[in-house]
Order: sequence, then structure tokens, then C-alpha cells
Amino acid sequence: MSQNTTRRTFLGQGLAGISLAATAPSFLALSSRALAAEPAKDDRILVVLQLSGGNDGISTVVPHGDDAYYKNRRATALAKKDVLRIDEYAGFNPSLKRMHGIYGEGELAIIQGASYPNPNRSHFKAMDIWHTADARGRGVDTGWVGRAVDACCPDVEDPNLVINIGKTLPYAVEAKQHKAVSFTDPSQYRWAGRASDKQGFEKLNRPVTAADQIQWLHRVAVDAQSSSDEIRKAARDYKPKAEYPRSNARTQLAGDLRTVAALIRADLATRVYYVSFGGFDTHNNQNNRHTQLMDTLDASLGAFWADIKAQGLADRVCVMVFSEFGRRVTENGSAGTDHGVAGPMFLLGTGVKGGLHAKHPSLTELDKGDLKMSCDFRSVYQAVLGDWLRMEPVKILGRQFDKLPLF
Amino acid sequence: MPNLPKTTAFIALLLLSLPAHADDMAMQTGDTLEPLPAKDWTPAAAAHLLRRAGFGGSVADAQRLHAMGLDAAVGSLLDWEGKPDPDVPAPRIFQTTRPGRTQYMAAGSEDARRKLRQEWRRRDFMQFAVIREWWIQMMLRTRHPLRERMTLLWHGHFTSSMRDVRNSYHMYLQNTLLRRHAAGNFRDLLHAISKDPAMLEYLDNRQNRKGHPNENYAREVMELFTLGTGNYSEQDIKEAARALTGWTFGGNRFVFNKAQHDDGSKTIMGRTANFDGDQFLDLVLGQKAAPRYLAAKIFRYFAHDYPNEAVTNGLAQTLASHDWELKPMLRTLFRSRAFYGPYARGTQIKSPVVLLVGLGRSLDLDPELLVGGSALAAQLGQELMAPPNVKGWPGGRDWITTSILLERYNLCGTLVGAQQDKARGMSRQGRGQVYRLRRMMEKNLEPADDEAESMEMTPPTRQRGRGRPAPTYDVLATVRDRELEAPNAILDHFCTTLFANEVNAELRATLADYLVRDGGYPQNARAQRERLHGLLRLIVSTPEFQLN
Repeated sequence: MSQNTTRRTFLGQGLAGISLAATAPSFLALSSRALAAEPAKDDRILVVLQLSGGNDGISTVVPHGDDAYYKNRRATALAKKDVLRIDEYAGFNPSLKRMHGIYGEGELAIIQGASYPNPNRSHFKAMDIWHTADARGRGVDTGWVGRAVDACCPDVEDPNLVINIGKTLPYAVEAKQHKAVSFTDPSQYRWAGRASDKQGFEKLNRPVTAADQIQWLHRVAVDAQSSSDEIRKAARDYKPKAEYPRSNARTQLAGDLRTVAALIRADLATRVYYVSFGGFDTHNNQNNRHTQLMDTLDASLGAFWADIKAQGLADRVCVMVFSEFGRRVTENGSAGTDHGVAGPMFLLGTGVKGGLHAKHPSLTELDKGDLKMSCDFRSVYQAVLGDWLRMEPVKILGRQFDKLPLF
Repeated sequence: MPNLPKTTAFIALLLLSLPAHADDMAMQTGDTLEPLPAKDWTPAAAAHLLRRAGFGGSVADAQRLHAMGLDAAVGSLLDWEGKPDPDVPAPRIFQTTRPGRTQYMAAGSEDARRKLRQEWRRRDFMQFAVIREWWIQMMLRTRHPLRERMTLLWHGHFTSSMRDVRNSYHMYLQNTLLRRHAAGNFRDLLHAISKDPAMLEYLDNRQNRKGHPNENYAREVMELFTLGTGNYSEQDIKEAARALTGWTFGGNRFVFNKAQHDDGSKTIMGRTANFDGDQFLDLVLGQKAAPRYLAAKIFRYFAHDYPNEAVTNGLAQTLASHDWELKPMLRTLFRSRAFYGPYARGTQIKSPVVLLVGLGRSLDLDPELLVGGSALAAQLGQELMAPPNVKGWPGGRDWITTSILLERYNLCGTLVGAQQDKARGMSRQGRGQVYRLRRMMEKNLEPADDEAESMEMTPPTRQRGRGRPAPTYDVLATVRDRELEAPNAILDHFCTTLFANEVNAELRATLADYLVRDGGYPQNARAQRERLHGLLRLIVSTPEFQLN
């Protein structure tokens, strides 16, 4: 046990004995991590952005140099002249202007054809595999992010190591020790009673020395208050240095990423932020819908990255974008696309080796109509965990995967 | 190195506060299966029984139970067969929403079929939401709460998830199966669940065919359902899977596909024969480990996490000597000293369902108030009929995180709050979901056109005049009906009703101060109501209230 933990635990417990009635309690001061070291300002941070529903990779990184693309995509193909060129073969969706720009700066890596052996075309099953980084899916009872923070930080007391923004908790953050903080709106992450009752509430939820179970619950209650105070304050006081698009009911993405930027700026101890963006299940009339999604993605992520750079935080932040599968090469009869297999992942950051990684899967040598994988997504996790977060990937992923030079 | 006094103090604190190792704890408990002495059968003991073998109840409910005496009280909870249950939600005619094969083929184009599939998914999703609500209402309204507690136990034991089953009617059939066998015979239950369509789908036995075995079900039967790890070999799994080949389903029924059954010789648990699936299940139940495994599981669910050897063995023996009838064992458990001992009393962290249904039942809330309860439980981490994985919900401290603890406070606060508090504590999406569920329940499953979109995606933009408004808990009526006037008496009433443990002096003082703050307990009804709602809101916003 480290000296730090000992001190912190001691003080967390010791404070229980001191009368606190006289002072207006600051819950940060009361929490079990009262004397935790200053948040390490050089700690690297990962932001996971999940595109839920199966993003059509072919319409995202477009194989405009391939005749097979136009043959298979009569209704949904994007005009060659509009595609934002990467090279003779591939280019960005016309909506991804900012991402194209970031790519030009060398700060965006595209990992093409990411998937895994024996791909599953069910949203649930496929997402489970991406979340657990394991072919058994929920046969494993923790997620890859959860395992990562549990493995890296057994002595850390801070409750904010992983923050999820969204209505549902992704299985990726399931952990034994470091359970994620989760909220949809930071201003709602608080006790919702009346202000005039707050004093009573705080008295009822401070540290106690008592039977094991009750003492533990009081400690969580104190951590909850300090975590809530920190997060709400950070989000409320934040002054972004780039303009974010307005969020609307359909998508909260820009607002969620703005919150992430605020929390990073406030130097929370958080190592992983998790954000989800849904609506990618484009079975019919894909083009309008997918264009909107790409517009939102580009505007939100572009604003976030501009903000992070202007805040001087770019060297600490890496964004990883993924979706549970790509879509079938041949479009269906409703001007949409059905569930497929391989698709591109993105890594965004100044530490990233920008450019195209792994090869674009062939549009003609298919597996049951789907793109074959050219890279196991766990090679990307491995690089992110090992080369970016400086953790031990084998401990987290269970084995070694092919190395990809992404950082 | 930290300095010496600090280290010493730290070690002392460690000894005071850290949980003992599970084995030490089991040694120390001193629990026995001896019946609880009559003198220890107190109203508090009766309330404990009601909270654990049910979802709790009012002070009067506990008093009624207490007056019966221990044996009759246990019997009143356990012997529900043949007794009326008039308040449960009217039976709904759930049905399969899957398009028939002929209808599907007749659809012609791939496009038409896709539409049919989408329509089926939409209807099925709606029905699924209503089925879960129906179950919550069942828990709230039934006169046989132990039956629902047992159903919930089996749901977490023989897990299946809608995520994989993708057929709400099959999930409903499984739920009724678990309820039918809730405190019946475990052997019957095991055989029945092994032939249940949802289970055959969830654990893949549907794909278990002669020459192409799928071992998933065979493995989980032994690992999770009957024996626990270490009591079977990988070879046993391989051979057992062969015994289960050909067990599948057609429509809503079990089908034994003889052509896909491997009727060759198998060696399982050291015995060789042409075992079929039923014989394999009986063979497993004949293992020494089986009754012990189940006894420990049931003890943990109802009493506490540290059963000692004698208790586990005693319960296992009762199970075995009654050929897996569950009632004698449950009767022994609910009458035992161990069940009422200090390690059991007020030590369990409530699951979200127990938290919400328990709050409803102990305050006698209008069950209408809890429409949407399944969505609230899901928000707190317990999505009924969609457990996180095959192991079910890990429970205990895994229910609690910083943000979830505050959500528990807030959602319970909303339920006991005044009307003007309704907007607090629930996100906009949460409110929208509850509103939609309420309407769907009322309209008996006929979703309006504007609900065609997934419920998850579209929060309502406005609340229309249709649908009754949500009821509010009338706290003042409660106090008047019980003729509670003095603040002390009021406080006593709610503390006894809502806390599983004796309330310590500090907690009580804080609540008492609140009740008489700003110049004493208010005189006019409006102010009283507000004060009382505030009090309840504080009570549910405590760590102590999380315990059962």
C-alpha cells in the first residue's frame, strides 16, 4: 500500500471523529481522497466516442477510386467530385470538412477495415464484443475500459476515474473497483432536493464510524457529493475557446463533448471519458440521415478539437471513434444499407501518427457480401492502452495482438 | 514511511472497519437453524421477515404478522397456493408478435419483409415494456409477495435476457414458468426451465445438434444453476452437451428433435449410459454439491452473504431429504436464528426493484404512482428481463456508485415528494418514458401513431391532455389516519416504517430538528404537508435507507 493511500485513508476515516457541525462542510475536503495528490497534470486522457447503430464506413471513408463502389451503391453513393480526397482511392465524406482539415495537419489516424474474427451482425452482440474486447461478449463480466482503470489504479481513491455521459451505461466501463460516474447532463448530477433542505441532507450524508456496510455507504455518499460539486462547477464555469454547434433534442453530441472539455480543463482525475452518439442504423433512405449524422459528428468533434487545442490541452487528449460494425457493401432496396462487418476507426490527437493505417478492405473480395477485416480492433485498443495511456495492454486484453504504429 | 502514530491509528481503524474475510465471518456468525425463541419474535423481527420474504410493508402489516406468531407468520407468506390474489393487475393477453412464417413468405419482396420485421420489432418492444411494467405492478399489488421474491430470485438465477431472446412473449412465458414453480420443487423447475423457449434461445441449446454440439447450456447448468465451479470437468460438459442435443423449440413450445439427438453412450460424472437430457439433469441433481450450492445461494439471497457450514449443510439436507421440495427448506430458513441474527438484520443493500417496490409497499403508495417503475429500476442498474450477463446481477455493493446513489435518492424523493417536486430528480427522458408507459398501460398496449419511434429516442415535446395525471402520495392523510400529532410520534412512525435498522441518536436528531425547524412543527395543513414531504425526502436520501 502506498504512503499516499495510507494517509488518505487515514484522514478519510479520521475526520469522522472530528466534529464538523461548526463549519459549512466542503465535501471535497471531507471525501476519502481529501489529501490526494494534486491531479497529475501530465496524465494522458482518452475520450471514447461510440457511434451506435453501425456506421456505414463506406460512406464515411469513401472508396471513390473504386468502380465497385459506384456499382454497388447506386442510390447512396457520394459523387466523386464532392468527396474530400485523401488519395487516389479514398476520401472523406463531404460533410467531414473539419476532420479532413485535421487529417491534413497529421493529427488524425484512420484505421481501415477494423473488425474481429467471426463477426456478429446483431447490434447487441457486436457491441458487447467491442465493449468487452472479447469474442465471448458478456460471457466476460467486465468491460475493457473498466479493466483498464482497475488494473492501472488499484490504489486510487478518486471516484471520477471514468466518466460516462449518456442515458445508459456502456458495458465497456463495467468494472470491479472503479465504477464509472454517469450522467446525461452535468447540472442534474446532484441531490435534487430543495435548497432549504440541503443542510439536513449534508448532515445525513457525511462520514460516520459505524457498522461496515453503513460506513461504506456513507463514504460513497460523501464521494458522490464531492464528485457532483466538482463536475457541476467545472461544467458551469467553463469558458470554451471555440464555438460549439448548438445541441438539439436529436443529438446531444456537441453539448456532451463540451462537457468533456470542461472536465478536462478542470483537471479532474478522470482518465477515460465515454460519449455515445446514436442513430447510425440506416436501413432506409440513408443519404439524408447519414449526411446529418456526419454533419453533426464533424461540427461537434471539430469544435471539441479546436477548443482542446486552444485550451493548450491537446498534448494530453486522444479521441477514439468506433462503431459496432460497418454496413453491407451492396445497398438494399430501400436506398439504405444493412448490417455489415468491417469499418473504419479514428484516432484524433497530436500524439497520433496521422494517416491511413491498415489497408482498405476490397470491395470485390467479400465475405458473404461484407467487407473482410484488415485489422483486429483490439490492435487499436492495445496501442491506445499501451502507447497512449501507458498501461499494460496484455493485462487488460488478455493477450497480445498485432502491433499497429498508431502513436 | 508514514510516521508511527499514524500507522498505528490506521491499523486500529482497519481492524474496526474492514470486513473480515468471508471465511472468518462464516466462522464467527454463530448462526444456527434452531428456531427463533418465542421471546425474540418481536414486531421488529416480523418487519424483517416481511422485508426479506416480501418487499416490506406498513407498520400495521408487520404488526399483523407479529400477532400470528412465528410459525403462522412464515406460513402466511409461504403457503399461497389456492388463496385469492384479487388485487393483482388484470391478466393481459400477451401474445406473440412475430409474423407467422406463411405471412412472412407471402410478403414477397425483401423490402416488404424488412418492413414486416421492423413492424414486428416495434410491436415487440412495446409489448416488452408493458410486460415489465406488469411485473412491477404484480410485485406492488400481490398478497403473495414471497412468490414474487422467489420469481425474482429465479430470474437472477436462471437468467435469460430480452437482448438475446428478442421475443417478448417468450420472456413472458419464462416469467410465468418461474412464478409457477416459485416455491415448488427445484427438480421440476430445472427440468422445466431447460425446456423453456427463452432459455433454449438464450443459452443456445437450440443450436445443440448431434455431431455439432453447442456446450453453452450444458456448461451453465452445472456452473451456475446447480453445482458451481470445481464440481465438474470439461469432459463432463462435452458429454452433457451430447445428452442435450435435439432439445429445441418450435413456435412457443419445447420440441424434442429426435433426428438431432445423439443417443450414443456418454460418460458423465463417472457414470456411463445413453443419457438423454432429463437423465443428465437428474444425474446432476444427484451430486453432493448440488443441494449445498442451492442452499447457500438461497441463504445469501434472503439472509446474508456469510452462511456457515452448519447452516448450509442443514438447509442442503432439508432440500435433499424432501427430494428438492423448496418449501420445507424455506420454512426452516425463515424460522431460524440465523435468519434473524445480527449478520442478517438490516445489512443487505436493496436492489433497485426492492428499493422501489419496497418504498411503494411500506408507505402504501398508490401503485399508479409507480407506473414506469421498470424504467426507473433500469435507470438504477436493474433492467428486468435484461440482466447484464448470464450470472445475473452481482448485487450488494455493485448496486452502488456515486452517481447511482444520488439517483436512488432523487427517484425515491420524487415518489414521496409533493406534486411540485415531481419535476425534480428525474431527467426529461425519464419523465417522458414514464409518461409513455403510463399511457400504454392505460390503452392496453395500443401505441399511438406518434409512438412508432423507439421509446428510447424521442422524449415527448409536450404532455397532452390524454392520460390521467400522476397521483401524489398524500402524506397528510397518512398522518391523520393514524392520529399522529406530536412531531415525535410522527417521526417514530416514519422511522419504523422506512428504516430497517434502529435509528441512531444522531440521525434521529437531524430528522427531529428538521421537523420542528423555523419555529416548530407547522400548524396549517399546507405547511405541514410541505414539511412532511421534506422529511420523507430526507429519509430516503440517506445511506441508512439503502439497507434492508
